[in-house]
Amino acid sequence: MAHANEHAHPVTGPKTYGLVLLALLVLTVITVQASYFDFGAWNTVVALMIASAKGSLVALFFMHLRHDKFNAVIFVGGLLFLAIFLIWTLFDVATRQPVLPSNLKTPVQEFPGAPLGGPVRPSTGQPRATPAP
Amino acid sequence: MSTAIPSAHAHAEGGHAPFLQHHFREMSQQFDAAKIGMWLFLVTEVLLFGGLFVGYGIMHARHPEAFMAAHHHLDKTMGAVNTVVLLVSSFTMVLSVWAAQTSRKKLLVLFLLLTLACAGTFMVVKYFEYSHKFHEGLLPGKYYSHKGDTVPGQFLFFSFYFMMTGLHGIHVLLGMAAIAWLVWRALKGHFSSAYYAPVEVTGLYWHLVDLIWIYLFPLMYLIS
Amino acid sequence: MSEGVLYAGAGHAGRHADYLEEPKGLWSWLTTVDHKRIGLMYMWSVLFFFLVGGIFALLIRLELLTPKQTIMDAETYNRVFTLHGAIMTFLVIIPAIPAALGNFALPLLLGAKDVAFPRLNLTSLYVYWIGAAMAVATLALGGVDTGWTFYTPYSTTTGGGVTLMVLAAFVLGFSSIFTGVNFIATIHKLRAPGMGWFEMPLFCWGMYATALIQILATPVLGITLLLIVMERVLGVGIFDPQLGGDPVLFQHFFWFYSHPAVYIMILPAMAVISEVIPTFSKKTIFGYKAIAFSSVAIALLGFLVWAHHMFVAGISLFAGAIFSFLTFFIAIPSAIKVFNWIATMWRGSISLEAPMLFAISFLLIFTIGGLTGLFLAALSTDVHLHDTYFVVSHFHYVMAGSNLIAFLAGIHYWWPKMYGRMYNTKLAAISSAIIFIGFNMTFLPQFVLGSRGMPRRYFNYLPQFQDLHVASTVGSWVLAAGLFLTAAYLLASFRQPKGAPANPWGGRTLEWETASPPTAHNFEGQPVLQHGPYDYRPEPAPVGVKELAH
Repeated sequence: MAHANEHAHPVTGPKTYGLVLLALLVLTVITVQASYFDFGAWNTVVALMIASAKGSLVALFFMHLRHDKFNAVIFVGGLLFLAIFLIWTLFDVATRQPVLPSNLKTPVQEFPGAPLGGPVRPSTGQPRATPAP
Repeated sequence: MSTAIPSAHAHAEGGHAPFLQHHFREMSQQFDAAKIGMWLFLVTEVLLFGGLFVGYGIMHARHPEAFMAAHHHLDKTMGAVNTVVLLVSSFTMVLSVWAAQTSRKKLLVLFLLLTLACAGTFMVVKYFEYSHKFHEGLLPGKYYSHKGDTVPGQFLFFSFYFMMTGLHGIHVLLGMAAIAWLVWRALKGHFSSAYYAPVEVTGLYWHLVDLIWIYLFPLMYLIS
Repeated sequence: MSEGVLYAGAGHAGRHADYLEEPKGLWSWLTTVDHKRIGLMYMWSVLFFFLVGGIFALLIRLELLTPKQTIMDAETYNRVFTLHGAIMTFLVIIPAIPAALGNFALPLLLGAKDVAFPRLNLTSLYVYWIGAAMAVATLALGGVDTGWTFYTPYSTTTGGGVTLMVLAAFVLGFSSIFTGVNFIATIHKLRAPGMGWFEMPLFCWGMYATALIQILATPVLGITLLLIVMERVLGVGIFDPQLGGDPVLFQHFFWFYSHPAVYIMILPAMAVISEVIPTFSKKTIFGYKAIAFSSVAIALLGFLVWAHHMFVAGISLFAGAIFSFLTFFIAIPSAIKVFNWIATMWRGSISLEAPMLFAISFLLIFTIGGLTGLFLAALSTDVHLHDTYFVVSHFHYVMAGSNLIAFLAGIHYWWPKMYGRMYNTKLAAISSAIIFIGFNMTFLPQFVLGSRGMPRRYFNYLPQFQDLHVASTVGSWVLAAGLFLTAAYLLASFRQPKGAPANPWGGRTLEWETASPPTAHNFEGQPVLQHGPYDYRPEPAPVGVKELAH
């Protein structure tokens, strides 16, 4: 009973790990090369997708998540909450005007793409030029 | 104290599992608990860095020209070298887990030392990058003093550059301390196929440090 | 696997010295890894800071007795309410039930010898003490006047000990994370043989849900606080609009932690109540799975609603509407719990012992606190009520009232198990009534004050608010009197002999099947579950610990 470790957990050999390292190095070269091309708005997406491919290889093979469903749930769950944090925050930031400094001298201009724009801050009825409290 | 509990007593006297703590029934239970604990800790690490990534994303979206101009001050080659160094260190780390799993003590020590060497290399490269930035006045926040900028607000990029790579660097140093501790224990012959949980969980931590760098590298050095 | 000889659990109290007696000496306590000792040290630390925070609260109420300056100037007032908030939040309410009662009770309820990582548990206590020392040390630097929320840009520009206080909260976050990691691993790996997920006492479900939040939310607070330090030290610019940053972003970061954190405060309270009510109703809990899943649902839904703290901070109206809509969903699992507790009491044979009296107080106070939360969740009402005493009263009902009254319920429930001594039950009943009356006297008037427009955190106020402020201040004295009475009879119980029975309340969970107080390793051998946690059928299955067949 006390020696259960090696039975319970499958051992992956150096060969597999070597192949994974090779794949990671190739992806690194690809991502550096890709940065010289201009994909327009997709630049960040391409870079992050390559990074995610590399990250998945590390997580699945080096961190043994492919044999470890339970901890995979924990980890993916954590990423999910990070996504909630990012998306919910972006959701607000993207649908309002930026907060403006109190010493701003120039007249406040309308920002394109702010759907709820207008001269009045919707929630307080204060003029836009007033900074957030 | 342990004599109060027959089950702990039996293990302690039997000598089958010298590293079994009194409150676990068997090694596999202790091993699983250690792994769950480390994974939960890694989740907290992801969310800790996550805050910086969210902040970076929003500031980047708000000041794209400044971030674009500022990132040209970083040295892509050095970043790429460090990426390769960390990936190799992850490889040697996972091999040391394998060596422990298969009770290869000498290889375990060797791979741990190689991992430590890679981590050291990473920090040395980082040191050269940082000192170069300091020299040029590319400092975070109010200490930014670089001359000749055409786009305002580049200090914001460097605020995030130093906070994110700095926090990552601290994690590398902590990982190095943990690996050095593993080397010491491995030399004392603690690890074998029956007991290698510390190697496994330190490995998990080390791979997460690598994983974070995998995202930092394109976001800092390559984004255009 | 042969585990050796196992003993019957109950009735062997004399066999071994209990965990309080062996080993002896201060050093043995400071280096202990026993979850029960760590739990007790946490409990006394929390109670000490509750006293400190409570004194600050009394000072605030005394200052507000008159519309103008009463006992302190405005600057001091700002520091006093900030310290009251920061101490009560980070040093009292968040660790109160999980770290003190949870540490003590969770392994016992699970039939385990200890938590999964005992040394990490002790580390968490030391980290708590370090953080607490840092928080108190800010007094030497002139205090903090930002409020416990540290809103930017004020917190990044004001003087005093803000940096130290923020770092203290950062350090305290680690203590909370360590407890959370420990509890999840413990619940997954150390349940007694035979205890499936749905045979766990509901306290464990509550702790599990709490631990989820501690792990998922606390690190974001950590980075937020570090960003404030960075902003103060380096001027990094992320929260400073003059540098291109966004102060509202701080509020997003802060409330991503701090809204789920209010569920770190309430879920453990609900967990205690879920134990107390069936024990004193002598009836199986009604809707076990509903209560268990509603805990987890509250924990997860709590991450989707944080911006309801920011309706008037300048967030987009669109985001505000969505967050308001989602906030109402929290009411569903909360209501499910309340209805299930009431259904548990329905036609039970209720005995009004002190823990039950506190639990009933909790039901009333939590209901008021929860329902007034709905007013604030509604976007249009909140614009009117935001930053008024209505909000102050609401969060005192859910955080102070519900959490601390449940904490008291738990202390009274497990006190015989902790110390093997019984307190004066008559005085306990009286004090629970005084606390209930005092609490409501203090905070009910504040709802009225708030709805009439009395803003929070103000030092002076208009004369027409004075009557209600006086009522509230007098209520705070009644509340304090009740709490001091509780302290008196609990401390007096140490003069009693250790005569408490193993199972004073007739509970059915595992902690009642070991001696009071338990031995160092909790049970004699490994307990095996014989019946469900709330099995109060007329002819109960044989109580006790059976030999483990493996």
